[in-house]
Amino acid sequence: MLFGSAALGVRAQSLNQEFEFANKLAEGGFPDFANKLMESIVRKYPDQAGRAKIISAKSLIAARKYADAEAIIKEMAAGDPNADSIRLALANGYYRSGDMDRARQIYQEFFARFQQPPTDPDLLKFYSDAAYRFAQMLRLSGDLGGAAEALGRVISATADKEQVRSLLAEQAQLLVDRALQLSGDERNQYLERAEKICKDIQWGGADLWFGQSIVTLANIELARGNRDLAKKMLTQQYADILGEIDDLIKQEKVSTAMSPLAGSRFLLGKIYQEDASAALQDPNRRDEAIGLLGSALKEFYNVFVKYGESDWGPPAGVRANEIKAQLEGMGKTVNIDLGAKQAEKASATQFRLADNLFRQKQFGEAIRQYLLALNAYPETPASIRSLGFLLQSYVETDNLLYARAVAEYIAERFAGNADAAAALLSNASVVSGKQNESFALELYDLYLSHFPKHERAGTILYYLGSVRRKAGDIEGSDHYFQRIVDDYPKDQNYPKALRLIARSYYDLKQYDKAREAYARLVSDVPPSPDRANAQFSLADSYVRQTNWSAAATEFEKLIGWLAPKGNPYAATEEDRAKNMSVLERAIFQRANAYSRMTGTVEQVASYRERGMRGYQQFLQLFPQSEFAPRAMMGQGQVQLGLNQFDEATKTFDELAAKYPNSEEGRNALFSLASSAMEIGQYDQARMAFEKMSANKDKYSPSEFARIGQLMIDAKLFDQALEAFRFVANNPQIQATKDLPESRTLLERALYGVGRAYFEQKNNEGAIKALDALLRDYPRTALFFEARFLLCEAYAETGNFRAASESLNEIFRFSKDPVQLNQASMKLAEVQLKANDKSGALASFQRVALLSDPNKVEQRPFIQEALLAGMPLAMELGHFKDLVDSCELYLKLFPTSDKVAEVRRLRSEASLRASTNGGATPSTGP
Amino acid sequence: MTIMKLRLGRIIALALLGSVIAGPAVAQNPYVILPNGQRVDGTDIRARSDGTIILTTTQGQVTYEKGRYQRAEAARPAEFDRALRLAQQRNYDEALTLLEQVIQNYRFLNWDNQARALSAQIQMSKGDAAGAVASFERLFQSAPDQKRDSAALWGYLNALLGAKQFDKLAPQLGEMIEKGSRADAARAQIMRGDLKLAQGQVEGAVMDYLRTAMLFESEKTLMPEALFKAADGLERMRDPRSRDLYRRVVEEFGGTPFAQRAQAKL
Repeated sequence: MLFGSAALGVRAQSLNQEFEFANKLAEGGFPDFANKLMESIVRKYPDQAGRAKIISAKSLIAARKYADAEAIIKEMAAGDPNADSIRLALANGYYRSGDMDRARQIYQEFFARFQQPPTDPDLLKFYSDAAYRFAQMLRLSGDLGGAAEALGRVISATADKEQVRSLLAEQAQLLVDRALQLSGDERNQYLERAEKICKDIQWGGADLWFGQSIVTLANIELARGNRDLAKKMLTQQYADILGEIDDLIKQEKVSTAMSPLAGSRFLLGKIYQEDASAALQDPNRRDEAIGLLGSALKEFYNVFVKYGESDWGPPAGVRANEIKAQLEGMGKTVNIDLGAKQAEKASATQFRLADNLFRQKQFGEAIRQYLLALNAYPETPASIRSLGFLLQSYVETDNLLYARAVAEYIAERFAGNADAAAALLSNASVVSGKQNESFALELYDLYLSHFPKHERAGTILYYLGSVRRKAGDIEGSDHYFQRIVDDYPKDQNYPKALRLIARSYYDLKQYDKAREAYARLVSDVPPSPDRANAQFSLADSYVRQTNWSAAATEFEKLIGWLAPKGNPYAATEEDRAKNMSVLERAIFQRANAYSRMTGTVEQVASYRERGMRGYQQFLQLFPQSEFAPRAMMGQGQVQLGLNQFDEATKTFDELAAKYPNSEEGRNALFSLASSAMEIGQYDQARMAFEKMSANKDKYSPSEFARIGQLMIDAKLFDQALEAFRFVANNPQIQATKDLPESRTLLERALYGVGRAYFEQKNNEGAIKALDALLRDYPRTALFFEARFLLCEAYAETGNFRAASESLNEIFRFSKDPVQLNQASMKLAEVQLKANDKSGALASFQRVALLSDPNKVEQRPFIQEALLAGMPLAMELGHFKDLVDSCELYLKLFPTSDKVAEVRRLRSEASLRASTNGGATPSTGP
Repeated sequence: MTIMKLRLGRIIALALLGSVIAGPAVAQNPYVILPNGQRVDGTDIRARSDGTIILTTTQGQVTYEKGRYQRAEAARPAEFDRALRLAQQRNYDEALTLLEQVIQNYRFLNWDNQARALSAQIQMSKGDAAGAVASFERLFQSAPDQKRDSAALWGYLNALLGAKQFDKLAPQLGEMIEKGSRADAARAQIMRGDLKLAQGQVEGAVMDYLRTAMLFESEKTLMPEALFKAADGLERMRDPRSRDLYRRVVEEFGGTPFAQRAQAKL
């Protein structure tokens, strides 16, 4: 529906337009939309899948999902002409993300396929553009030799002579720059190659590139140590030619950035500056040095002012500033001012120098350069960004103390500035990537406290919350999510955060709060699968609270949203599938809710009718649903509830026939019996059970064990006994009784028999079964339950000793304080029956004094034991113990409704204790 | 947003109304244009229910059966001007009653169609989009060539949108997008976005606005609207890219009403 109307109107011709649109979306920062558009086109025109892949790959690259893009490339057929385009787009993506190694590998693989430049004109252009782009990448990443080689490919693929000359000039300069990084023969080889190229250029005629070649040749001589020759070339030998070219450029109104005089004068300045440095080593040559510095300053200043747009302009500005400061430090007055705008340019250059070092991962050198630049230009637009790089340089060199200092400076000094925020975030991400989560968190906290209005604040809070959640710290994660909900209700992460908070409440069974959060979500998000899901969860929270009426209302609302065709809740096929699943569950749950709603007899009849219709509708719409057997069982239950026994039986028969492999269908009679018991129709349950008993072979011992338990719960002890005996005497179970499954069933059956006999007051039978259980399976999981029950059975027969011994086994093995308290209380009960009042009092006091009142689960035992022991203590004349018990009770349960009674007992006990001279017998714990 | 849309709809309709009101109300004689383009002036004119025109001229009465004239027009009715004034004073119901009389009394004499068009505009002004749709449809039935009139057609489409008659609106927009001029196609795409938005399909709406902004850059007058609406849709989706688009509107289309609204969002 979302793109349907667009796709509907798309004809073969307009498909091109849709692809163009998708391309623009991918390039314009909407790769997700581009992908959705492609999905809709491919759904309608499957033959366009190949073309769509290119857009999808580009979208993935734009979204930095490189692995996914690579997967698409792998799927493309060998020789697919589009594959290269995507591969290089991927390489560019890697480059932008700072992964030069991968970028280089892809480009190299591409060029390796061509021994010679391709002949096809389109491919040739593609090849040439790629080679030039690659050269620039390499140059910026500091691989000057590689850049020169890549440029060589461009040259070999270029036919235009003029262009070739400009490329050769650029290549020669790159070779010289590379040579300066080397020494010895290697250096000479590069210089020779550059020299040859320059001479080739010069043979080609006197033009701009001729001029550039002179500058490069001078550079070569300087690199060879021929300083005088270099100077002579620039000031004498070729000075006129360079001047003429410069004049011509001005006459023709060509950009002065192209003038070779820029490079020439810069080089001269450099020579003067270096000469000055040498002269300064000798105190006697100080004046000479000052003169040389002046000459250098003049050259640099001229380059900066006259050729500011050239590559030489900005570094000349930086050098001019440095020399100006140097001369002023030597007590000289320098009357030049670069001006604010020019200064900004110079600062940008100085930062760029540092940036280059940073990009080349020379972090130590980058730090030095950044500090120089930042101290000269502390608060220009480039400064803040550079502070971020400085911070990262400290991180990369493991100097976290300095990194922290820079981070705090950024946060405090530039609070609220978007670039500063981005600098902190980018570093937090780097630090996190280095697994230093605590420092990353520090950076994120700095960001959140100083840039609360930054557009990514919500995203960061969500990220931090997600990290905590992954670590299992739900409370911690909700803290972050709650901040999004409270402070960033317009943020993209708001719905997700609210949903997770709601989910937390739901998981903690705090359904009121969960509903509140889901309701907020529903009201705050537009129609979408998320909104539908939230509404479902809202309704489901009512289900958990057994508020069936409210649940039904909410499910009705949801069904009203999702049922109409073309509703706005789905934008894609995926959405539609999601919504269908929600709708399926909602229709099922609606029927379930109506089947359980309470009210007057008439109302209940009406609800059940709606419940039954709901189940029928569900079964009609979703006959293959995983909930279908449960729906049919639900229908049968409703029929049972409406006393439609014949219909119910038919429904359960149909359940068995239609869904024979489902849990419910495999055992329809069991389902009927359990359903009947669930709604209190015990006669129906008994009838179903009798049918089961008549066909025992069709049912497993496990099912009999389960139904036996249901029968006990329903107080149908005869049937329970029959069920459990069937299990206990089952030959198959007996034959495999050493297997864990059989053993478990036998244990359950013996216990069940014991329980059923006990409930029927057949204590001997109970004792026999339980003794058998404990004898044959002394390590049974039902040990404690069996011991308690055995104790009760013995107590009923008057065998208090055996009853106590059974409890002693619990004292012996249990480590659960609650269970031990239960055993002590039960022992007191047995002792009272045996008229052992002192023993009973001691048992009560053991519970009261040895339990931990700070444990919420133990407090009820303490309270009960204290209260039960008080009359015994009074009767036995243990007044001091009684006073102590009263004091303890009043201290621990000051708001209890027994307080008045306890105070009265305390007064009476105190009085009687004083009357008796305080000498009261005491009962030890 | 619905309120905002309603307000905008009213403002647009009032603006149209203003243009009609501002138009010259020059009294002129009744006339008939013959199939060959010749104009025959008269002193009085009336029409029979079958469309036959009886024009009184200085030489007597002349009868033109339907099909034997191109167009017939009566002198501008005073009721029409009164209706205009009432509409200007926002007495919409009285204006509509008067226009209904004009429609009845000037059938086949052009002013019936003028009255239908004006009725539609007044109905939009009073927020009765469904009524406006009905009026436009009566107009197009009576004068099919009016559907080629851009103002009438867009007025009708706006009314359909306001009346939420999406089933009627969608195919017309689809046709304009496919076959209309570049300007109409761009405008129709924006309106299709409005339609989807009204149906709660925010993402689909954003796609249409973006499609306009990206593929119809030459339609400069529509760009601020397309970009602003795309940003607005993205904002509803809590998509942070909305800010980038608001910024674009402010930076590239400063001075437009959309730029002012976008500025307020930043």
